[in-house]
Amino acid sequence: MLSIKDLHVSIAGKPILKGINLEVKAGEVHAIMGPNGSGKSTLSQLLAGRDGYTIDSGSVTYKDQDLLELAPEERSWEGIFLAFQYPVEIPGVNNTYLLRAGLNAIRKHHGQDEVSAVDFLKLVREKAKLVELDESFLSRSVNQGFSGGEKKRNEIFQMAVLEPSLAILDETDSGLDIDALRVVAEGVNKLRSEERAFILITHYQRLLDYIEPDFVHVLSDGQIQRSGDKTLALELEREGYAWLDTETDIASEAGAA
Amino acid sequence: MNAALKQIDAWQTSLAPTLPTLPGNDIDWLAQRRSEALTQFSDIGFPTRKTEAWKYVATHAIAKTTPALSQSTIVDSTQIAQWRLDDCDEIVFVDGLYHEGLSHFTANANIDIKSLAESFEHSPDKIKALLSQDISDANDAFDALNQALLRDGAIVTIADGAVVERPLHLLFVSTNTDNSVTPINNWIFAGKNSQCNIVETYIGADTTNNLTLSRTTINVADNAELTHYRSQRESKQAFHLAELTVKQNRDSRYNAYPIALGSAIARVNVEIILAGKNANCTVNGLYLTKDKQVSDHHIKMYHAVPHCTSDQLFKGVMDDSSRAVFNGLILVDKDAQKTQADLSNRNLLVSKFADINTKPELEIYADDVKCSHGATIGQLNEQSIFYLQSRGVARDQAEHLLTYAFINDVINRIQLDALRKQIAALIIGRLPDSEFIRELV
Ligand SMILES: Nc1ncnc2c1ncn2[C@@H]1O[C@H](COP(=O)(O)OP(=O)(O)O)[C@@H](O)[C@H]1O
Ligand SMILES: [Mg+2]
Repeated sequence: MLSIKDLHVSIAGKPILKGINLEVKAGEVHAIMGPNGSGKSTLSQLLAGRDGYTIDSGSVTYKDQDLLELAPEERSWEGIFLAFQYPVEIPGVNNTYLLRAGLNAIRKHHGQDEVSAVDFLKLVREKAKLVELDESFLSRSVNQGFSGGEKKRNEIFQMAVLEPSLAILDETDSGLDIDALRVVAEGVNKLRSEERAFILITHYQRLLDYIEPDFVHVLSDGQIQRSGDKTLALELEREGYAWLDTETDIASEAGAA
Repeated sequence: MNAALKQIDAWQTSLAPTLPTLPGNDIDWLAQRRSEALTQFSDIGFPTRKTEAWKYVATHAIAKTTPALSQSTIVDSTQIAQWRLDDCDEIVFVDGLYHEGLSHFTANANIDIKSLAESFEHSPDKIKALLSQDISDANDAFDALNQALLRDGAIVTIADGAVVERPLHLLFVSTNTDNSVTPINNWIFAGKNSQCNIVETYIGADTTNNLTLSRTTINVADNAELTHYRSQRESKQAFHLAELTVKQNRDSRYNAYPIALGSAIARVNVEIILAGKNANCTVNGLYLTKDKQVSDHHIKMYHAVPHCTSDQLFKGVMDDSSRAVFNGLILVDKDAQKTQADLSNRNLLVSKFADINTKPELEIYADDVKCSHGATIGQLNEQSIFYLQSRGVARDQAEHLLTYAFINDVINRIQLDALRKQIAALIIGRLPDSEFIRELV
């Protein structure tokens, strides 16, 4: 589904991603962990199509297309969904109506009819319940005045309605209390399927107590330093990220020699 | 003779002969006042770039027109149907003249409405009292000209203690297509303890190119509440120059909604005097410009006595190569202790050729006050655009949606349903992707 090959990306001349390789197949859940500033959000926003990044080399292929050629909205129509680390507040734009517009744009792209008002309402109610999002949030402006946790739930709610093929969750677990974390995890688990893939970006192992990943990758200094199964996350939990520094040092020393 | 002087001369030559045709001109003091005002007009001359209050608005496009006085053309009810407001009493003026046939209003003890033109004859002394302002105090040449051409307008008196349920709509329709000048002078007197909602609408068909000179003078008596909407939507060839003067007395509330959408050049000069303790004023303003429109707001909020509050928010959206000017002064007298005054001006430039000159000013002579002011000029937020795109909204749609979202809160503050819907529909209709926006807000 997604194939990232030797991707080098810089922002304003500063290299941020320094040779990322990642293969994600339908049905898989990949966790990407790593210290702050390692490039996790850069990678996820880049996949969703955010402007301002310079691709220095490498490629990203998604469903046999050059993903980097697509506009952000086209990526969304093709089934990419990013749950933002910091969801934006948009006063004056209705949360539910935005979702309906998004859903209809996706349907239109696939030659389907618009969803009827009745069906949409049913869908929205059902998914709101799934993430335990109070229905009062449906009629509010996008994320406006939502608490941190409510914003994250809203992201998962949107994901549940839009039913993406590839969902990227950028630290959706950060700042959540244990209840909210469970709700978010359940939302993800309910959506897990053969056709759908997830990239879970997280700083902590605790999300992975609830969502069992197929692969765990450690991103540091713009590179995936290690990949493994879920036991790698446990190891990180025990050891912290400190070992990365030493290894990077060793690597760079080796490079210098 | 330089060009500006020649133009003033041409205006005077064109307009002087119409003075004797104005209603009430057989009244000596009135005839004299008009003629003095015309002299004053020519003495002051058209504003130039050196005229501080007109620094950013060039008037040569107006000066070169040499207008005649507007004449009322025949309008039937179907032509103005789209501009009416449901559930309101309506007083209609066509090209500055009261039109009884188009108006509907049931006289009652709560509110009295008179046409200025008719009042000259019936109650000249009353009018004389209204015109206490000295001609030499005219704000500029256009203000003086409006005094010279003093012809018609509405005189609205709300009785003491009256709670007027039905909003009053003063609808000023322009039809002239020959660069004529339309003088309008209104007075609103909100009696003690009264409550009323008044809408002033200035509008014209797309082909009209009149110069509207409007002056509205308001007195809000003790403990009265007046909500005043001013919706200016004249044609893009028209010019609209307006004066709004408000005096607030003790415990009064005045809520103003100056909304400027139309005209090639639009200027509103507002002066609000908080003259009685505990008076409270809120202003929610909106201006939108596109193409080559120029829209100018000059606001003076004068706190003359202690314990008054004023709270102003103005939002502007400038597109294409249009321009706006905002000048908001909060003036706090040395006696006006415990004043609370806030002024915020937020602007969105949606085209790189659009421009805004904004200058909020504080002039404070009291020491125990809470005043704040601020202005922002911004473009659309890239993060918001990206967020919407990531949810499937195409970039251009996202931009247009966010443009509307920027001003949506001001529109939503309009309490009158009919007007709010009308303004929202109109503004959405001006934007590309209107249908899409309609579905999302
Ligand atoms: N817009 C930007 N401009 C400049 N530097 C940026 C920008 N966005 C991210 N960076 C830098 O890129 C690096 C990676 O950031 P980010 O992807 O947010 O890391 P993470 O999500 O792993 O914490 C950091 O050093 C950060 O300062
Ligand atoms: Mg991050």
